[in-house]
Amino acid sequence: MNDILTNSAVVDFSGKATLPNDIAEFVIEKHKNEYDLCMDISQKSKYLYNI
Amino acid sequence: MTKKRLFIHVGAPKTGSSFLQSVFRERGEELKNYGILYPGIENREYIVTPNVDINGHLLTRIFRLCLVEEYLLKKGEVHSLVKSLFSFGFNKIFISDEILSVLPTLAIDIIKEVCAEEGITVVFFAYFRAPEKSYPSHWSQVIRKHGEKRGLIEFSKNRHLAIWQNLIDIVSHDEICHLFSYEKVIEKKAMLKSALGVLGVVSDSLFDGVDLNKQVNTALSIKALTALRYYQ
Repeated sequence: MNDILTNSAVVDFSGKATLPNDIAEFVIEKHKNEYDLCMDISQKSKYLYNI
Repeated sequence: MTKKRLFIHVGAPKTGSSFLQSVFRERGEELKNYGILYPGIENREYIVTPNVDINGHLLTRIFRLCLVEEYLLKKGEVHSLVKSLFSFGFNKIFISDEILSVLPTLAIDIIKEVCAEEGITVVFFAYFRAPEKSYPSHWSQVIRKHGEKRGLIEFSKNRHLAIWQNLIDIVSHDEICHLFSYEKVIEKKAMLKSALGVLGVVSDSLFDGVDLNKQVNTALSIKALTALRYYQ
């Protein structure tokens, strides 16, 4: 895969960028509660439309 | 008489919005057979012909051009716009703009108030994705479209994306709201099905012939990569 390092973030030419693990953990922790709550709510929609 | 309904797809950014919008614009005429109008825009006014993908931007524009402190002063404009949406003889209107989910939620409150005063039921729906995916994707988009110069790590640490809290605020009212996890509906067929579910369209034949494999709006273009390397 043609990865290049941009400011330590891994970016590949398929058009996807990913966070390094330590930063990903930081970001996840920062928004975990909000994201979890969104998931709770979305489960009801998922059930409703049988996706 | 059928009650008026305004369906608003509010994003969030980088969750397949462009795909949904392009499909509904393309199939806008067929959608009318279900009593739903996906209006178009001409000369900054709504028209009955679906001719643009992001047809919610007239609404977004009202708020983007002013400070939050001035939002309440814009209520009259929102009233006029909502009235114009229902001037085409359709009782169900569908508009979409992903930016609505990242505006201060006072904008959403004003839209709700206006619809309540006009006797319109407003239905919000949105998709969201995991923060570790959302940040890189959002970052690459702002590089491409807005010349963001910060690297991904700095961007992720310092930029607060108000996506998830905004969505929670939007659904924390009495109005009808639906949230979908982008990861769960990442297959385009599931995404269309969820949108049709919100619109109350039982048949999915509306999308016969839609290319469900087409790639839309890839996260990071070669142009963006070039710009990123240039600035480092």
